Amino acid sequence: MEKKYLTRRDFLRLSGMVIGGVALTRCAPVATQTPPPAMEEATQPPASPSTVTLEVNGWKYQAGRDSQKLVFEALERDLQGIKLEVTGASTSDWYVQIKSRFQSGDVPDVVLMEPGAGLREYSPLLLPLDDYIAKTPEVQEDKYFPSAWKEAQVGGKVMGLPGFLGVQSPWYNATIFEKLGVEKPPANYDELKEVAKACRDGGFLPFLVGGKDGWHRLDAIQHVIHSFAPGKLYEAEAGSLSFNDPDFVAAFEVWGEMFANGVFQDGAIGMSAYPDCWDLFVQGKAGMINMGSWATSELLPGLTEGITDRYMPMFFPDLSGSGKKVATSGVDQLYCIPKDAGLPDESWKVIAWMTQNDIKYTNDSGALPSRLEGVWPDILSNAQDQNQLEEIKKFYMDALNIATRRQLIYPELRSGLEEVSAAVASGQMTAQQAVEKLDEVSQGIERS
Amino acid sequence: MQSSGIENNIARHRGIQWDDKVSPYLFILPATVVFCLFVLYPLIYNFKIGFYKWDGINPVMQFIGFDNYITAIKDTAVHKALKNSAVWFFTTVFIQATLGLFMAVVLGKGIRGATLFRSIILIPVALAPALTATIFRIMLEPSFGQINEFLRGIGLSSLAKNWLADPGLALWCVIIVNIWIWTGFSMVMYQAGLQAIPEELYEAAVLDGANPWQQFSRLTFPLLKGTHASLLILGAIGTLKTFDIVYLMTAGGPFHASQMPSNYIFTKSFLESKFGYGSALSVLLLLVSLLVTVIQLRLYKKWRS
Repeated sequence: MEKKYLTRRDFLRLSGMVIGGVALTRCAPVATQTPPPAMEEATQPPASPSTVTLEVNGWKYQAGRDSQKLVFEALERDLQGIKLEVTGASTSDWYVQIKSRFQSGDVPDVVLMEPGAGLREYSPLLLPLDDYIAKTPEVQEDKYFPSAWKEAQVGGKVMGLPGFLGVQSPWYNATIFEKLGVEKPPANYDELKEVAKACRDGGFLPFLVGGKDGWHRLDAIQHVIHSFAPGKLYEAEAGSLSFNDPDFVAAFEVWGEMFANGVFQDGAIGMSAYPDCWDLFVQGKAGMINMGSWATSELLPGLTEGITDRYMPMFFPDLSGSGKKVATSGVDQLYCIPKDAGLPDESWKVIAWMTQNDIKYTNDSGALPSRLEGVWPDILSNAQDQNQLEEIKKFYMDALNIATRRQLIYPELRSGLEEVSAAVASGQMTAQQAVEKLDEVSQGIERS
Repeated sequence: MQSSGIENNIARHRGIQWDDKVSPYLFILPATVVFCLFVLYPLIYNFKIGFYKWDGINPVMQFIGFDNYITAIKDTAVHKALKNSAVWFFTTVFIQATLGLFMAVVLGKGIRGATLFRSIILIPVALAPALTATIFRIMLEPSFGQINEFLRGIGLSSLAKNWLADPGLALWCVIIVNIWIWTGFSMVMYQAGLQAIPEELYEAAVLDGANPWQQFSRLTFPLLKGTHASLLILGAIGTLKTFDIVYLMTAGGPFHASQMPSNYIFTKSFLESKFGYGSALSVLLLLVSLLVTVIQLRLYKKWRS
C-alpha cells in the first residue's frame, strides 16, 4: 500500500481552508436583537419580533441577590418590547471586569457608573445624553437635586442620569448610648472623646472605621477636612489652593490623633468596612460607625431580621469647634449608555425609566431620591417604627441641604488622599508630610 | 513508462523531503499558536504599554518613553514591595522547609497516628486561600478576635496587639499564615524524597557507627538536595506570585507595610487606572523573576554536579 505524504500543495490547501474558516467566522454578524422566534422556539416561548434584549450591567447587580428583581419586572411591564439581561459582579471584581469589557469593545447596553473620578475616567467612552434629554420633558435638570444633576456632568455634558442619592454620615447605636447614660450623639471633638471612652469603659467598641478600605478612609478623612477647612478641599482639587494650607495640616493632625487616642476602634486601619466593621456594628458591639444613608433599611427593625437595637444617623462631630455641621452626599450610581452600545434609543428608554422609577421598587437600601419629587423606596413602609423612620427621613433631608460633594473628580487626588490618610493613621507620616505629598500629587494633575 | 516511474519517484522524494522538513513544525504548531496568542503577544503588548501613559480604557495613549520606569525606580512603595518579597522569600522558604523536613522525618519513623497527623498538616494546602485569609483576619481582630482573647485569657494582655494594623506586625502576620498553609506541602515533598533514599545506606551507616544525628546530617540532608532545590524554586515562584492572602488580609497596608509586587501592580493598574505604570512594573517584576530564575538554575546545576 502506497504511503500518503503531505505535499507542499496539501499543506497550502489545508492552511487556506483553516484561514478561510476563521475569516468566515469573524465575518459572521453579531446579533444584538433577540433572534427571530423560529430560532428560539425549541427552548423558549416565542417573543414578539420587535422585542429587544438589553444588557444592564453594574456592581449592584451581584449574583445571588434578587433585590433588583422588582425593578426590572416593573420596567419590562412598562416598556413593552424590552427585555433585560442583568449582569454584574461584586464591587471589587466589577471594576476589573468593566475595564476589560470596555477595552475589548464588548460593552453592555446600559452601565452603572460612579460619579466623580469614575465617571470622568469613562466619559470618553460614554454617550452624551443632552440630545435625548432635550426631547424628554420628564427628564430635565429642574426635576433633580442640583448636586445630583451636577455630578452627572463632565465638561458641561450630561453623561448619565442620576439614580439614588446617598448621604455619608455616621450612625450610632441609641440602645448602647442609653445603657451607657449617653443622652445624645457627640456634637464636638470633646464630646466624641468622652463618648468613645464611655463606650470602651462599658465594654463596647467606640467609633468604627474600616481603615483597610480606601473608600471608607476617604469618607472619614473628608469629614475631618471639611470640619477644619470648609470648602477648601474643592478649591485645592481645582488647583486654586495649596494643600500646604494650615487648615489641612490641622485636619491631618486630628485625623492621626483619632487613631491614637481611642476615638476609633483598636486596629481600625487593619479592618475593612464590610464585613469587619459592619458585622460588629449590627451585632451591637459598637457605639458608632462611619457609614451612610444606604444602611437605613438594614438597621431598621421590621426590615432586616435580627435587628433589635435602635440605630440612628448622626452628623459627624464638629471637630474644629466652628459650629458648622458637615456631611457629604452624592449620587450612588448614574445610569449611562456606552458610546458603542448597539441600540442607544432603546438604552435611553431604559435609563429614562430607571431614573424616574428605580427608587420606588428598590428594596435593599435606604436610598434617597435624587429627584425633587421625593419618592422613597416602598420597602421602608414596612419598618416597625414609623416614627423612627420619619426621624431618619427628616435627618437626611436636613443633611442633603448642607451636604457637600462626596466624590472627588481626579483619580490621582483620590488615591493620593487614600494613601496619606493611611500613612498618617498608621503613624508612618506626619500631618505636614501628608499635605506636602498631597500638594505634590495635586501639582501633577492635568486639570481640564 | 520508465519516465513516469522516475517522475513518481521524484514526486515521492519531494513529498518525503517536505514531510521531513515540515512535519516537526506542524506538531508544535498548535502549542506555538497558543503560546504566541496567550503568552508572547500579551508580553510584547505589556512591554509596549509600559512606555505610555494610559488609563486602561481610553483609546488615547500618550507616549512618555521611560518615564514609567524612572517613576518605578524612584517609587518608595516599589522598594518596600521588593524588600517585603525578599523577607517573605527567605522567611517562608526556610521555616516551611525546616518544619516540613522535621515533620517528614518524625512522621516517617513509624509512630502511631502518623497518617492522621500527615492528613491534618496537609489540610491547609487544600483550603482556598480566600477562606484561610478571611478566617485569620477574623481571628486577628484586636478587640474580639480569638488570638487576643486567648492572650488576655491566659494573662498575657500585653501581648495582645493590633496585628494587622501595626506596620511592624502586618507583614509578619501574613507570612505566618502563609507558612501555616504551605508547611504541609513541604512535608509531602520531603516525604517523597525520604522514600527515595535506599535503606541500605542507613544500614551501612549504622554498621560504621553513625549515630542518628550523623545519619541525618551526613546522609539524609545531603541526599535530599533535589527536594531542597525544588522547594527553593517553588518558594521563589510563590513569593513573586503572592497576591490573594495579602489582598484579603491587609490589602498591602497599612501604607505599604505589607505590600507585595503583584498587589501593587494590581492596585496601580485596576484600582488607580494607571495601566501604563502597572505594565512597567510588570516588566520590572519579569526582569527580577528572570534574574532569580537564572541564579536558582545555576545553583541547582552546581548542586547536582
